[in-house]
Amino acid sequence: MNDKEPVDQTGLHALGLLDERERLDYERELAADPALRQALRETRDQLAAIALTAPQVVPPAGVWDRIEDRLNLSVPGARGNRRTASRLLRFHPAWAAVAALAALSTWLGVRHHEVSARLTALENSQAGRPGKAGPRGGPAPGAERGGPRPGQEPGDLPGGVAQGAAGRELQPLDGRTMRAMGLPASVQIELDRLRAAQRPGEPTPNGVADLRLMEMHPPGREAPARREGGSLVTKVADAIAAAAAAANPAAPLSPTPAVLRGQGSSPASDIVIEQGGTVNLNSLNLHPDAQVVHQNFPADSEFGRYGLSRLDADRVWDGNGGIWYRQPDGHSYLGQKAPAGFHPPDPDDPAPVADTTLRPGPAKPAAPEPYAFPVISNDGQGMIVTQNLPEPAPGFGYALWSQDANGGSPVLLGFLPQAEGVNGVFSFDLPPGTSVPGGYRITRQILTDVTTPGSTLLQGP
Amino acid sequence: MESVLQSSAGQCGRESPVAAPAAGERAVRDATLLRRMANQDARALAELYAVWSGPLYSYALRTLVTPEDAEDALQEVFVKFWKRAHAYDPALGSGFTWGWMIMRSHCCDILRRRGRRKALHSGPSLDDSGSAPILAITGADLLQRDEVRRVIGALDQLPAPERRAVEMAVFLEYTGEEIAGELRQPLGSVKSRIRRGLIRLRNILQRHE
Repeated sequence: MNDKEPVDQTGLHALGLLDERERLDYERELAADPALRQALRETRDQLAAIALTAPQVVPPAGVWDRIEDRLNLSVPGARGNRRTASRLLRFHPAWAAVAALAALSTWLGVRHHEVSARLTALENSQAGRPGKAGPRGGPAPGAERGGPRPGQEPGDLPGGVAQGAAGRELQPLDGRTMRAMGLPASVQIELDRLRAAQRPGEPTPNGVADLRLMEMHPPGREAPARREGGSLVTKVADAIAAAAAAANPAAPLSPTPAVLRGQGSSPASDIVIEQGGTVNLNSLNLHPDAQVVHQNFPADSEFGRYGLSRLDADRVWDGNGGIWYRQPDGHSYLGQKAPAGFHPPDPDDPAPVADTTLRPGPAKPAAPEPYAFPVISNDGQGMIVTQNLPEPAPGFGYALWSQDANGGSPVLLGFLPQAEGVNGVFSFDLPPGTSVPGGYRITRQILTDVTTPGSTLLQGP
Repeated sequence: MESVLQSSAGQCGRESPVAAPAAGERAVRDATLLRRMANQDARALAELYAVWSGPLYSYALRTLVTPEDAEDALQEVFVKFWKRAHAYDPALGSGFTWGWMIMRSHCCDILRRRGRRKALHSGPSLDDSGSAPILAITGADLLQRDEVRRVIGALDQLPAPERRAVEMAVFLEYTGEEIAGELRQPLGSVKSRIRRGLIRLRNILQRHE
């Protein structure tokens, strides 16, 4: 081929790889030749398509917020640490609410240790298509305490699909209970005080910061049009928070809540405390490579106010299982969970702790139990909540498969996004003609392999 | 992003190499969003962010290596999208390609400022054949999974030297001289590889239409 023809220089031009003389020649031709201009457009499309083959990673939370801040914009429903704005706006509200609430209950259990949420189905009227609970790890933690209701099989969702719900708002029943109304699902939420009271000085977790909703589809098949519903999740979260506050009048934190930056959910996202007290390190779903840094640690004179006690010149015990190590700058402290076997000082015995083994270092928390919590609606639309899935190995992801009750071949429902799959809420659709799943399976999967399930991480009804 | 898959068939008598069934619809959607942004509709920007942020961030991460740089780049280009949306002309190409070119230009600037070597040696390295393994496909991005797979399949059919040169130019933003130095080949040979690789890629994709 004669690859010096202008049309064949198009790729190099689009990549900026022509030298000055070649570029001028090409652009002269370009100005005179509409077909060449079209070829350039197509080549750019082609290059953009190649760019799409980069390993797909979801941008971290907060980028959108920064964009809004930069542009001084405010898009209702789009703000608030969602990975992507409209993914939150596209989910199936009916059962998504159940799943989302399950996720919220998890979040509340993990991050807001003042309260937990319990999900209880008010009705379950859609016979034959109850939601199914996750296998290992069981249903969402907050749901566990609800227990099965009459007619409910073990393993069924504690939530179900109700009929006849009216209204469109959450309906508080009392200080501890509310209903999500206006949905095919009617969900009752109960809020209980946990034993571990929140210490003064700890931050109030920020709403649904950890809740992520994303769509998941079978390969090659687009989802049906979604009804916007992100605001519902926000309402649910707000209502839970409001109910929590009502149920726990002492909950508003004092004296000075810590002011945080960062999520701690990824290696690149440290939690930075700008002022105030410490945080309960054990309440954080902290990535092993993320750090918690207090930039303006309370002075010794304020320790009583924040429940802190000094172990030695460089270490402070926070009373919640965390030790804070003074950094070289003298005023910032790095928080780490106390090593196993560490015994905090007895407040009645001011003798110094005879522990010379404690050293700052990476504290790898024990891997939490993974679980998944699938829900399916009557029309074949589903959602799955995942928590604590281990990071997949490079080149692998997690795939969700359905298994019909008759032992047929598994059906691939989609892949969990790598960055989000470990903790998130994902929607999916049963492929047309697929029978009611008798079970689900999450497999470790090479993403190019869409025919055979990989090794199973979780499975169950 | 999906708008990159739009078909421009008919305009020059051949199919777009990466046309897809829903490509026209996506192109219209992207163009509509950009038009709304030009009219200061902030929600359109949020919607565009939802569909473009994943692939653009992934590209930036592949190119710039560090999440911090990629996040900054993503933020910067969406600010540019907002400010420049009025300048987008659908007649001149798909919306996503327009957006990707802005991102690419931004990444080029960053690499130029910090030096290019880091991207090759400390980044998510290309394997021996120069292939770019897909680690994950995110939720909404699954919409284009088949199209991405088609392009990967076409890339797989390229001779390894051509593919490596093309990917170095696309993802690592190398100049011809830099690619030549990295591959220890004369500049003319490198340009020929890229030229032939892109032509071959286009032909493969057309054949599989």
